Amino acid sequence: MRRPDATTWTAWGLAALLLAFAVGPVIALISRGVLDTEVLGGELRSAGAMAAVGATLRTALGATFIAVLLGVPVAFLLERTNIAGRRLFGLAFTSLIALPPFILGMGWIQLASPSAGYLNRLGGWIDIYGAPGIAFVNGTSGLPLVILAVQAALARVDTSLEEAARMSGAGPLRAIRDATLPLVLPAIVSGALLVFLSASAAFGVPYMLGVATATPMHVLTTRIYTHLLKGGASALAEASAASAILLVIAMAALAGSAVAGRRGHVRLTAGKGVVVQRLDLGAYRWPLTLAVAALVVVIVVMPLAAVVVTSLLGNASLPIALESLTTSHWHDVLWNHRTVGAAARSFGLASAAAGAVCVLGLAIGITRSRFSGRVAEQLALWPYAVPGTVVAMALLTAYSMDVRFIAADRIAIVLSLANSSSMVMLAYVAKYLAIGSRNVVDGMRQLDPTLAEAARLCGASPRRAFVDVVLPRLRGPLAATFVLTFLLCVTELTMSVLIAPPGRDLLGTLLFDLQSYADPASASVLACAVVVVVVAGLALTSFASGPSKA
Amino acid sequence: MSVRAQNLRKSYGKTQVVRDLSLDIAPGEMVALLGPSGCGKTTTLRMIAGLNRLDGGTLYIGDRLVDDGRTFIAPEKRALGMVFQSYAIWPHKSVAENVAYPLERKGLAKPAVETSVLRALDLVRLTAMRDRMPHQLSGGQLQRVALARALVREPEVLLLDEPLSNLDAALREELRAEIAALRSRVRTTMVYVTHDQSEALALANRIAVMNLGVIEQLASPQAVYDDPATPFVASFVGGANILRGFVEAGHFVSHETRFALPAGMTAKGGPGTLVVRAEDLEVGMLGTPLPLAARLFLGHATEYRFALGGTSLRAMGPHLPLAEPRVAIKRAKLFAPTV
Ligand SMILES: Nc1ncnc2c1ncn2[C@@H]1O[C@H](COP(=O)(O)OP(=O)(O)OP(=O)(O)O)[C@@H](O)[C@H]1O
Ligand SMILES: [Mg+2]
Repeated sequence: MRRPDATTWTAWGLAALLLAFAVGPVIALISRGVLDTEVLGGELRSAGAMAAVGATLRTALGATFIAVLLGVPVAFLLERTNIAGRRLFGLAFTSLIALPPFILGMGWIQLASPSAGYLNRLGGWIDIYGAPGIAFVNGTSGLPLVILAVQAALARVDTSLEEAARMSGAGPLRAIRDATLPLVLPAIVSGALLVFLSASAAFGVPYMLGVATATPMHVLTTRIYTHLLKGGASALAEASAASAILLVIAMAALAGSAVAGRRGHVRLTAGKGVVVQRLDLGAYRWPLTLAVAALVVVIVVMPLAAVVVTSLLGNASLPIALESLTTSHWHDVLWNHRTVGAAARSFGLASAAAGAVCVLGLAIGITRSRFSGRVAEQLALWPYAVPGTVVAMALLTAYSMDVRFIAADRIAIVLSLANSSSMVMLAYVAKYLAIGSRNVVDGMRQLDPTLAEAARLCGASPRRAFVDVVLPRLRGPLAATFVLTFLLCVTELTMSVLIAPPGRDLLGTLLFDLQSYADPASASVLACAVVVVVVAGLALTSFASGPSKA
Repeated sequence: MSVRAQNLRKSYGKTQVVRDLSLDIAPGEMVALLGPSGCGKTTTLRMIAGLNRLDGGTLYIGDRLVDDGRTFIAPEKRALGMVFQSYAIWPHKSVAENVAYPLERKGLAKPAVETSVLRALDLVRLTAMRDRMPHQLSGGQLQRVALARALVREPEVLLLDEPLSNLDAALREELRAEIAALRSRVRTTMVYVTHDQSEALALANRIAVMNLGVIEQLASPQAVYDDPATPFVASFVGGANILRGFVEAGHFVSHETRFALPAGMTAKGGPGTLVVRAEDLEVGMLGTPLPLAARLFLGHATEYRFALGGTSLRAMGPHLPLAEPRVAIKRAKLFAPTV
């Protein structure tokens, strides 16, 4: 038995931190929601809660269905065929990952709100409000999750498996179904799970398209939000109970997909490098290219274009005419003290959170060789699957002065004195730490262990070997972690809207406020600025990760 | 069933991978496509299979036109069997399910499928493994599953792409003997791609030696070995020495070194390429003196490597304890100069 050393202590410390600030509060919240049987029973019996559960399941399953239905064929076309414009399409779908679904939702309201949507004004009749619209927006924004997962799996499946089926008398589609589909099924399931988790935890889109309408429809996240807005102990108890239900849904999806994924899992036997023979689409090449291009236009270009046009019009209900397009009000929207303050707060919090995620992720990566480190890794992974609303609720109830249930008083006082910004940051770090630990651990796995051993044999101490040999190779994963976490935090809404107090806007909450209550045209201007930040961030990552891969 | 390929052409982008390739295979014949890596063997086989379309030329299987650039019969409608270089055994299906698949696609009833699968597994001696999953099999066993799957429909033409190249040496020899034995039991036409000359020589009725997308020689193994049509064939199949130089009064001059041509070989003066197999170079006390670079004792013979103007000249012969051996050409073939 090895005596515990500094590394082990670090890892246990990390695990304790995670327990105290991420996992523990969630467990406490849930046990509170579940143990208070009276409130839970009331919530379960209430018509509103059941309607919200139904709406959550309907919209999340709908989104998953849309993402899988579109994502699997697109992944196949991009990875396995000679369709034109593969790189461009790939870029378009990846950038969709970092675009806040909320902004896509704004775009769709401007395109397809029944009265004033641009499309409807052109003679269409689409109603984006309600469950189908929510499922559609969340499904399209989750599409890249399915595409990337399936593409990665397809890249590992030898094309000759399919060709062998052709030689055995199967037609092209039959060959895909019998030879390739069973092997990428686990990837489809895990992509579908990610979409389901994000759609069932979504707040902005269902609020915009469901709640802020003539006939309000609540999902669980929006129900929790409105409970909290009401304030008071009983509302809080009901919110806890609703959080428990939401978490149960997420965990059930997780468990279900684990079972489905395991059944489909097989060991690939191909010993040699994977051979890729792209399928020649022949006469279908251009029609299919056009179809994928149309998809990109509909799900990415159109909503973004709508936001841009609205921001230039200054008023969404004006007729669209070239001479009424102007950027004169941009300055007012972007440079007023509210926007600047929110941007400053968001950028500060997001960089701090992204830095913390990198450091903690690195610590998990280093200590992973110990049991204690693996405990910390598992603890870090878990909150990622927990809906943001539940994470925020848990932190609030555990540590906030105003709404405190279970916290040790001293911790609560220290934190609430430190101001609510630290709580927002805590939520960001807890939720996104999994990105850091995943990227670092994957990066370290790909490293040849003999590299560090060689440095040791050249006389370097373990620490020195790590700094000189391992750390430089982790620069790519760490940079990617930082940018992705930063982008997710800068545009975060679900948790921020619950934790950030009024008057201390963040970019996400300001956007939400402007869009839902005040001034959609200004919201569009701000959304354009956010999209520019996101695109710049993505360009930065691809620039930073490009050379390190080589 | 016969396979007739006329003037096949195939390019990837700007690179011509197969150029004007013609090949006539008689029913029941086994033809080996032999050539170095990247010469277009797999591409040719895939065009016969229908997995790649022709850029030009015509292809008949039996009497049926299967591809001429316009008409195209899909691979699943050609009723061929194929063994892939990577075996392409479906990892999610058991051995029996893998072998049964072609029959299911044919729409056979279950009992008929069973008996055919058993027969095919018996043919490759895998009956005991029928319920195993592919990851539980060794490389050699996987190879035999691939063979059984390709044979189970009793195709009239069987295509094999380097079926033995992923195996270790001992297994390769064993399976080579097995394929030879199989030839006597099933009379299908076979096209066998390999870059291993000994496989081609041992198994095929005829060998098509390919280089840079064309067939340089199509002949029986004996003829390819004894009477190579080009210096490339001689060096690829026999491992022969290629000497560039010129003929001058009964001698061949290469790298400023004069070799006496064998007695009875008549040659006009002028530039040429001389092809001499290692075992046709006699090492001894007579002939041209050359610096000896290495002497490798191989057991059944000794290989000598002589330095010749920056390259080396290989000779094979009995072990001789000579300090400064000389070389004499016993047999050689003279070609027109090559570039
Ligand atoms: N799909 C493809 N796209 C582009 N080039 C290709 C493709 N397939 C093959 N090639 C090229 O065509 C040439 C011939 O390939 P082919 O696979 O027929 O060679 P081969 O004789 O089978 O070689 P090996 O012995 O290595 O299998 C090679 O130079 C290869 O790089
Ligand atoms: Mg090949």
